[in-house]
Amino acid sequence: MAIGFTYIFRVTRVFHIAHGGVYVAGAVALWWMLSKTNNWAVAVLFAITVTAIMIWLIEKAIYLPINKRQSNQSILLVASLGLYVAIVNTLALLFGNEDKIIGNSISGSFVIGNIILTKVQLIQVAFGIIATATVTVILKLSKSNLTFQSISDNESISKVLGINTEKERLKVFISGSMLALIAAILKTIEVGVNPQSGMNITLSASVVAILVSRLNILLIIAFAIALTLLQNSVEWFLNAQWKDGITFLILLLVILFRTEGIISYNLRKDTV
Amino acid sequence: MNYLLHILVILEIYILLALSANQKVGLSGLLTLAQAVFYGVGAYATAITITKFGFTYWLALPSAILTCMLSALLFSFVAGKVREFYFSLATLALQIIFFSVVYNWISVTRGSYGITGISNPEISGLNINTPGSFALFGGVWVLVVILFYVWFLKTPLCRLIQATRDDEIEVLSLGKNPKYYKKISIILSSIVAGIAGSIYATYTTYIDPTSFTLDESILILSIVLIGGAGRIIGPITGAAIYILLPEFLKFLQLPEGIAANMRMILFGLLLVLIVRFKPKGIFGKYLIQ
Repeated sequence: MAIGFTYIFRVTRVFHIAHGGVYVAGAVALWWMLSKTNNWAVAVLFAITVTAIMIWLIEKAIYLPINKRQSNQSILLVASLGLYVAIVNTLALLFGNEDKIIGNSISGSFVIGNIILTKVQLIQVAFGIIATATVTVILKLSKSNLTFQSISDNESISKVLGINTEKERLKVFISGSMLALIAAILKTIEVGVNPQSGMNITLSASVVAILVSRLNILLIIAFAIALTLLQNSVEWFLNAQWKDGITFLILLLVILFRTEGIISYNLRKDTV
Repeated sequence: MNYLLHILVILEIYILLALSANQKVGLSGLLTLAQAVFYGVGAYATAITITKFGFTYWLALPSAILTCMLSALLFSFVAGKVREFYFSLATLALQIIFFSVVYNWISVTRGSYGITGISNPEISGLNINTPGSFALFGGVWVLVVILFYVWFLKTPLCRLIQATRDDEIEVLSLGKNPKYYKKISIILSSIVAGIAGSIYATYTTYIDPTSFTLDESILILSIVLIGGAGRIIGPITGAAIYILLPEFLKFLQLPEGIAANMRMILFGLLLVLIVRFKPKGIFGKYLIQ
């Protein structure tokens, strides 16, 4: 989630809160098709198709036209909030507000010393590593990271240099959404999904996007792990309800005192 | 009849909230995602002073306003440090921090249990405890706030606030301090939101943190953007659309559960369409871009 959100935010300037809606829509699409066909391959393909069409429509019909108007980022944020509200409530209307559980046959656990790991958790870790490694390799081999960095730094100059920014934007949105879909599927097989479950994970991902201003996957992963550890420590030592408060207190302090992010390029004063 | 009066009271509360957000968004250009914080501060300050200290409404209200003004100073600090998108982001963070604090500070706010037994206001021994009397009471507050803004929009101070919104450097070149005008705007906005919070707390006689969430802040901002920022009529129209939309949906004979989701779907889509095609909103004066 953090990799997808950070790339989308840094390349397209959209603080894509609707990412939470896309996350839930993908998971619900998988759950629905699985309940109809009981075939994982068909269900995953269906979820991929729904997610891709959805994000394509969002970019082409909403974000891109607003971006062409040279609107500031707050307007894109408002549009994204509106989309999120519409998506989540549409899903609640069509499928209900209750948790959608996937009845899977993956049960059992492993005990290593004091640590108990369920099979589902191992699958989550394995797929998480495979997905992030694949994205890293693709970005390295295709040199897309350089293109994304260029658009992130200056979209107009990137256009002058012959980069098809509209195509690259779409690429980032679709890749980010596919990563969100993977995260959604992995979470759904563990605890299920409901229409509201996309917001918290998206907000956590957004904190990473602000803390890390560079398009560097390893840094994003490191910050995502650090944030998750912090959130779990807060949950362990205080209680679960302080988790969001502490996370966003860090975000607020960074915004106020280091707007360019903790790890960033040196920026001119007027760009932050 | 009581149901219609209840709708009217809720409409009045949202008109006050929308007018308070319009002060920040429309007059100062500060796109806030934390207006529910001031609404909550007003409601909690009223509830706590009434239930814990035995204040009457008329003593609780100034305490609520004062607490809102103190919170507004924190927001002014944020507004002085960051601008535009990062201001919106900072307010989003403040909103989530506020919810966490209210939810967890059980000794003061009673957390998720909420505060019960908030007494109704009294005027000359007359207890305001029916939907009809509350509709009248809320209506008077709405009228007072509208009349204030009719006057305020014509004042030189308001013109300076708007000038700060349009061009901070120009205001600086006139020898004025833009931060000062932002601070005034945020304080005024917090007072109106605090009044709405105090009315809400005494009307429902029970409050809990779920009424002051990020969703509520998004809703208040949406009401202003849909109705149109910068004028008095815009926020009132936005609030009327939001409150009357489910009543309209009832004519389509949609079940209650569906109507609630339908309202939010239509409102979300309306917000997207307004931002996409009519950034000034329905009756707006200030182009948010």
